[in-house]
Amino acid sequence: MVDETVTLPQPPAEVAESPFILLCNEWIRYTSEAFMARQQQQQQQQTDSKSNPGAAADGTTDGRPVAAGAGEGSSSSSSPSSLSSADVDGVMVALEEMGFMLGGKIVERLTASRSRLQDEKDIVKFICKDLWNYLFHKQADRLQTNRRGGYVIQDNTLRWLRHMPPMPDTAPPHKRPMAPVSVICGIIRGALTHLGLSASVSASVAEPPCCSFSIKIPS
Amino acid sequence: MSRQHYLKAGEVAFSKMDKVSAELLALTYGSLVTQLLKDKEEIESVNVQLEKMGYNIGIRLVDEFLAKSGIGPCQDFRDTAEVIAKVALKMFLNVTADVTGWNSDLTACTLVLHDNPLNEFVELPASMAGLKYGELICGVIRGGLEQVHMRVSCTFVKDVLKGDDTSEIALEFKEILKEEFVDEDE
Repeated sequence: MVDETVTLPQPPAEVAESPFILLCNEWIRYTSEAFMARQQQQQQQQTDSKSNPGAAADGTTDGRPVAAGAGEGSSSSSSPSSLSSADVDGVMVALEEMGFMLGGKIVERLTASRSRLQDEKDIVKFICKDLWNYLFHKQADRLQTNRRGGYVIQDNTLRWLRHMPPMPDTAPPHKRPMAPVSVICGIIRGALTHLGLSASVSASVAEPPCCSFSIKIPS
Repeated sequence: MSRQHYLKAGEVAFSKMDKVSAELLALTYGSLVTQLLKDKEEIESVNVQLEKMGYNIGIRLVDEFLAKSGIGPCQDFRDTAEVIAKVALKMFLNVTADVTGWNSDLTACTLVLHDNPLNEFVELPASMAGLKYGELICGVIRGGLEQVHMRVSCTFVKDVLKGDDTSEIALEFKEILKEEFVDEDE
């Protein structure tokens, strides 16, 4: 007779959520500040090379193209209140990339013991159910599709936004609700990419903690 | 208060917390460390950055600890070390530690971690020998204690990731801070 007492795999151990959220915030802050520092450095080099043409060679050794519009004579941009929207966008792109990296790893763990998802719809459902559950202990509240590769995932109580105080538009980028949301966009895109779909993911935060993510999968 | 009492308090405090999968924390932390290693040229500055991030986390986390742990003021530094090992680590990371190796003045000890959720999936290549992977935890302890006016030094002295039998954090009491102190981070 077969022994029925098969040991089930242990459920993954849990830790408290607050250190995790704080860790994410620290990472967001680091990424955001590192981006701004690079930006300022480039600007500095550009102004140096303008005022002192002899230094031009030094200013470009970095090899990075200076973002368009970022360095156009705005010497006052060292104060956070005068951030150009290009700077903020740049920070959000950096945060999205950070999420992308994480999203791939998460899905690798989540799909380790299941068969390959084939259908586009199944993959998006997987995002709404499994990935959402893993990140937020709940499923997404709503999924809509236009049947042409466009999906909208809506969540009315995004956990990571729960504790964020309302912030004015002049707040440093890492304190805006868009910061964690950009990371989540990256996580979703990373997850989709890992599952074989290249897509673009954008989000809008109408009223935190309510948030919607739109996924566009080019056919 | 007794060790048993603290163990129980840690269990109770953890049960009251919102939870997240330990794996997610480990993956997130791993990605962070990876990014830092890419950004920074020297491994030592990665250690410094991790400790600094931990410090920032610690000064916020201590509020939640004081509010939810139900632990009153500590009698002495020995008491403090036990509270960290049995209550704080349990409440936030769901692990406990043993406090050993007290010096004769009772100002320095070693926390022996039974497990470290940050270490999951991690293997350190030989080229990373200088990396203190879990240094964030040390920063958290330092930041947290500084908020209750206690300056300590805290660092990993043994790490299973580097082939040691156990993970050990050296904790040393430095001084009691006066009310007005300069926040070195802001």
